[in-house]
Amino acid sequence: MALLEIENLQTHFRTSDGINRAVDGLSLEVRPSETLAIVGESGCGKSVTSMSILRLLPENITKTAGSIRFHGRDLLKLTESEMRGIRGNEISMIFQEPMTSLNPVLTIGRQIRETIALHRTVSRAEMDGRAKDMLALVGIPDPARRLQEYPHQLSGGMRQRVMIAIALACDPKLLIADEPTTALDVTIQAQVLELLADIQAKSKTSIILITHDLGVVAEIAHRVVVMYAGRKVEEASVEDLLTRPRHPYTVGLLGAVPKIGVGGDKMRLVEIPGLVPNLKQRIAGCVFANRCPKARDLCLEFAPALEQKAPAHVVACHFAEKEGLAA
Amino acid sequence: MLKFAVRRVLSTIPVMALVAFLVFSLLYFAPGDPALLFAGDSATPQQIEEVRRNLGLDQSFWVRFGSWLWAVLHGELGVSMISNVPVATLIRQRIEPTLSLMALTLVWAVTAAVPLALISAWKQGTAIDRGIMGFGVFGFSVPIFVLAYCLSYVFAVELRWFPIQGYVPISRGVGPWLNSLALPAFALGTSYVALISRIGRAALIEILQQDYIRTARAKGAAPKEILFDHALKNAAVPIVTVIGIGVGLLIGGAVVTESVFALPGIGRLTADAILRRDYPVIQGVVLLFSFTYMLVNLAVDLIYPLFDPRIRY
Repeated sequence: MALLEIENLQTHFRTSDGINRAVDGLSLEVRPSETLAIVGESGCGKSVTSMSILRLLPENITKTAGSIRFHGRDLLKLTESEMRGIRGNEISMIFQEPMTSLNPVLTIGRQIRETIALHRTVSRAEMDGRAKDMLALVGIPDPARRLQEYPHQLSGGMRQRVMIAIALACDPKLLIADEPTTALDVTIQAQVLELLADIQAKSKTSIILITHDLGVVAEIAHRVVVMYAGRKVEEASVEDLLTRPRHPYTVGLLGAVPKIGVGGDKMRLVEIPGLVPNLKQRIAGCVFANRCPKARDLCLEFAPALEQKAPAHVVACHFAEKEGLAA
Repeated sequence: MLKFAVRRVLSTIPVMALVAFLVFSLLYFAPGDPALLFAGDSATPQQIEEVRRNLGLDQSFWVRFGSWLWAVLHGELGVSMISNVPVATLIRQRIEPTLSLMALTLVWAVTAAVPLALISAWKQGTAIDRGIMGFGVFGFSVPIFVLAYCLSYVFAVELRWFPIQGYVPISRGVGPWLNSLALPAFALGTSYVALISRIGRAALIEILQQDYIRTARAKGAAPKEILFDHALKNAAVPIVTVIGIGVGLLIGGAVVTESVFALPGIGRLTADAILRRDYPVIQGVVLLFSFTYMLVNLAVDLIYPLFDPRIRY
């Protein structure tokens, strides 16, 4: 059974010039102890999806429909106080901005203890012990001293490790990592990814990894969901998707990844022409049609359904051929 | 830290010197002749001339400034021209009501303003927020004396809950002391509450949009924890700053408030001295006010690191 099942999620924002359909009918599932990557360019709805799961979006301007079942309970139907019992406890989240995601005026120790204190009834000494263990787990040397320090005394990579320590303090079943390495430099990125993979191997925590970086995906994901304009356009295992992408958008994304040593100096990066569609207007046909090299009249009129086109490989494209499936 | 404190204290010296110079020259050039007042209505020109000489008023500006400054540096604030009592003694006699009024005003204003700022930032854009900020604009725009007379009329004259005027020293009991200061402190503090809550709200609204507040929510923190544990401590620096700056407002307001409620404090002393051109007294109290203001803001500077670990001296 899946740990998390999102069904037909719609997250719409009310703005001064219309409704922004940031996520429009997204379905996906996360299985126990797997890493699911959600990939797409800026504005495709991947972060909004993660914020919708934890219900962290401003309620006065957000309308959410569909269902997000976690352990069978629909998170969208829980009360705010039930939801608080889940946040940081069963589902944790780490963010893109390690420099600003920690409170500058509280010690590291206090910020780790806070999560524990919110969800467990334990003594101060136990909390301190746990906080120290967590810092050691995420690879921070001299944890006892670091507990007394403030975020500004730590580097960006260290802060992201602290964020991970906070997120894991209550042994969550699901960790949502929203662009966890984007703000870090490349060597630190690799270390943080390795840490996430490590933790998953040890603790069997499921991870939703939100990223625009296919290199990161190749590194640690098991399955990938490709999002475009608030919708899922392709879903497959990571090997399958990287080697045999079927949606023209995924093909475009992969083409836009620089490869060292291929094509020499003359090789240019392939870009996807055009812009992401305006999510405030209804799109009749395929959401990618206006940028798609394969688009026909059919695509502008009818939206392709998400269909299984190969074993464990779902694509929303009229022109993706079926393959390897029993008729 | 100590080095910073010493440097910070030393840096107040030129400011104090400038204040002293301004205070002295303002009164030097002010119209009106204290010798005339001092000598009385029936004095002959010779007598007036003699008074002027005795008071040293016939000397040049720089000589008078120099001798005054020299005396001040030796703790000699001079002698009142009207009552012949040393200014330092006058200040000592009048300090208690003023200190009481200021302390009480500070306490109630801060206790009222911080929760108002929190509520209004949390409920930003709602009717509650607009209500609080509306009160803020009102509190800031109504002059203290108007508010003071209104309060006095309603609560002292009509309802008789509080005395109309006068001061009861704290030595005669805390209850009567509080009772005598309730209306003055309320009148004086209202604009202060408005100022602090407005600045506090703005600081809190900005803080509530920070990434670390989102982190706190993602941890499962409730509004109470987010506001008190995360937001308020971050807002402390701007709030404490405006409290310090606002002390200037309180000092000015105290002069008016003490006059309306007939409190025998420094404010009244100042107002009376200005009306009678009692130069030594005016100079003494203005120096005292400036000194207090600087001391408060020095204290504010020194407590910043308590609230924000990134500030280190």
